[in-house]
Amino acid sequence: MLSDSDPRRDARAPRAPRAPSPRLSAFFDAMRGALRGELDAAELEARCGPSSDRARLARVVRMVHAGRARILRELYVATRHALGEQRFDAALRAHLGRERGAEADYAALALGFPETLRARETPAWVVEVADWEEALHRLRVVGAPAPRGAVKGPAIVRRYTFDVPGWVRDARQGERPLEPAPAPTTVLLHRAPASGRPRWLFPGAAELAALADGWGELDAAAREAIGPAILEAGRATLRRRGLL
Amino acid sequence: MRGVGIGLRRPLAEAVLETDRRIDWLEIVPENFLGKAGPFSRALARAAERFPIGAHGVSMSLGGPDAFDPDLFRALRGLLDRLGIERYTEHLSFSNVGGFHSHDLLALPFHEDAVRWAAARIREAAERLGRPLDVENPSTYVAMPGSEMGEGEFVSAVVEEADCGLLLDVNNVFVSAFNHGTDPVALLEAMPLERTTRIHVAGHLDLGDLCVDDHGHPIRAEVFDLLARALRRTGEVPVLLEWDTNIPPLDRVLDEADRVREVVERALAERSSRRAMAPRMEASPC
Repeated sequence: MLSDSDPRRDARAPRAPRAPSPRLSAFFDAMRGALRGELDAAELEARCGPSSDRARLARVVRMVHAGRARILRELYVATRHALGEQRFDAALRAHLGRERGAEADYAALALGFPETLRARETPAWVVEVADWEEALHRLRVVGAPAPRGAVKGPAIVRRYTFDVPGWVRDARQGERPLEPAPAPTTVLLHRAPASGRPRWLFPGAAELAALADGWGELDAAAREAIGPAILEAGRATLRRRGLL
Repeated sequence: MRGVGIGLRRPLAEAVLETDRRIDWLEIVPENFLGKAGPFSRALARAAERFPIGAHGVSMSLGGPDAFDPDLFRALRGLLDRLGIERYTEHLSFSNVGGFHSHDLLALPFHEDAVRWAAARIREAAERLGRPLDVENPSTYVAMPGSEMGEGEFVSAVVEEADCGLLLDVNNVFVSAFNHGTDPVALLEAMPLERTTRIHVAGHLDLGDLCVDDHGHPIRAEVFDLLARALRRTGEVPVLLEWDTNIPPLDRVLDEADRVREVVERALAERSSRRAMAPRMEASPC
């Protein structure tokens, strides 16, 4: 490799254009418009010259859109089940169009879908289902919260209005269940220490207190109010889970 | 790095670390590990203790118009240094345009302007990475608007101008030829085979009127034939079986890798015997 000061760089410099030629720039501009859904294949060809097959060119653009949607379709299986295909597809298009394709990490395209649903006045229980599926994705692939304090690894606490994990399990196994009955549920998601796979438990007050303490969120007065026995019971559970 | 490798993919990682079956080397998609410290990254660290590792990027958008992302290069270079990877490979295509991330590998128009642009970008990327960068021939579905040359001619011109190596994807050769209604052997022969540093082989999705390079199916006989033809020309280079969608259990992937290895070994043996024969034939009075 040549360093910046190496004189041989100068000899190569004339071969290296600093920007695409006008013809190539026009192609990229037109492709950007097509990928954003602003130009069709005929307009693309009108600007850049003929392709070998206009219908195929349009199909390539559709394949790009399908590829971007795939991660959401595969990840939010229960959410799709809850919403139905049509409403899910509309939400998906809104989500992928929201940032105009600016997300560089493919896996991160799936993040923020619960917010998209919330903004579209989706029933709150469906947003909770999406939130659960997103939390699992965060622990599996991208967007996990950083470990804090004495707690080893990422941990996510969610408070839902019904048993979301149970509903999702049933939804993935078979027929579409009815809208769930209210049953306030708190879930603590984390990674299994050995496999790194997402695991969860339904924490009681002791586990939540121990977790907050591990995160450094309890002061001495709070710890005293909770009491050492409860804290120790919670810590024992977290230790068994590899969180402490 | 020699022999037949497979891709280190998330669903296979644990099984790869546990299997006793033969895996000659592993190829990673580095973007799966940049800035991440989860279980997959830990699996890579363990795998690197046992297997040679190659890297094959997907997000550089080598042929695209957007400025290279310095953070990506910094992180990438650090990962390659840590793993002791001496060469990098990427796709001769573009993904990002004006800030839009297509998350796909889009073909450039095949003309001289694109040759000069892509070659300059390859040289720049190699310098930024501090190591050679070899480019993979694309799988194409249509000749992009404004194209003026054939795919083989385009790839050859870019590789020559950039003075880089070729990652020859024989499945891409088949997919492109099928989609353009041309002869895959002729397209293979038009590639700059003498610059081949690595070969990829994979299955694809056959929709009847279109072949899609999805890396999700068993390898077709025609693709195996292209692999053998290529190896008889290139000699021994590392070969990778790509299986990235519809990923089956590891044993099925390794069964397919064994089939690849048989083809590789047979092709290289044929090449050796032909070369051994050549001088004697020249010396023969008949």
